[in-house]
Amino acid sequence: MIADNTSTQNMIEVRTYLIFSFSHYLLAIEARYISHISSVVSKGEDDLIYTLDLLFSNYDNHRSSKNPKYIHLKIGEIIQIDDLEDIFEVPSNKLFSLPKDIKTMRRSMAICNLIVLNNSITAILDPTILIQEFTKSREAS
Amino acid sequence: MDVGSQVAASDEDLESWQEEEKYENFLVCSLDNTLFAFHSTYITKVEPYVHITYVPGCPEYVLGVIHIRGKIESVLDLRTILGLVKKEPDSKSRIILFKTDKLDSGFLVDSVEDIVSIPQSALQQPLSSLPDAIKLLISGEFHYQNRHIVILDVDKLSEKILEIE
Repeated sequence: MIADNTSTQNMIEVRTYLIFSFSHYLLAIEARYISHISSVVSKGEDDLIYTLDLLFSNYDNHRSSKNPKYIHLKIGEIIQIDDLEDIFEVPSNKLFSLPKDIKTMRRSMAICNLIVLNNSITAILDPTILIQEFTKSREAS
Repeated sequence: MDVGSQVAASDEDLESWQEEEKYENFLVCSLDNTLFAFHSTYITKVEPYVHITYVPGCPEYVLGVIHIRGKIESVLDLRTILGLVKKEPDSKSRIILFKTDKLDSGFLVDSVEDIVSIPQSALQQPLSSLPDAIKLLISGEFHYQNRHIVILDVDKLSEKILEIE
């Protein structure tokens, strides 16, 4: 179980993010959304699994890992990832909004903010928006 | 009137003419082995290539974002926007940050060749032989080192990018 770890240190809020890989990219998800992570899922959970393919639809060369991991969200759904990479405590002054033009042009709202640590940028995924978009996509198809 | 005074008068005329002639500044860039130019009024910075972080869920022509001096900037793929073949960036690649009324972003180009001042009288209308899709994004042309340089209109490019959505 990953605990919520939002705290305030010297007026700077610190949040815990899990960094994971998917299709050669690193993404972050806030720990407060996560129940647990597993390497396998039971057969009964198959319908709850969502992959991130929709977000990477521009890339023909996308290949999912042969040994995926599964992020179990507290809301019940499961996100399939390639691998768990790291867990960071990120102060709020290291969080950046997406540039305005990206907000205008993006086709998915699931990427909400960015983490900039050591001049390296990681996109933050909002799992609740992701699930909403996937649900709409599934219903449409 | 002797020859000396005639030369002096010609020099004055030339200086006067040069003072009257207005110049415009352009950033000359290379893309797919073709030189083209951006009017300098749109350009805010030229940065060497740095790793661009892809933002999932963006259209194909959005390469991603970069972190430059404490600010996040988006970077667009000019090759994709113009319908050219994609190319991996190298040490010559540059990111041209620009600002228009509608868009504040960056273009990835193959290289930046020069900054030139061109007299307004040397600016020409775009060649009619250009494909319509490209011609719509061009504001003119000029000669530079015996080569034709096409001026890409950043305002029109911004409009096209936002229209794609």
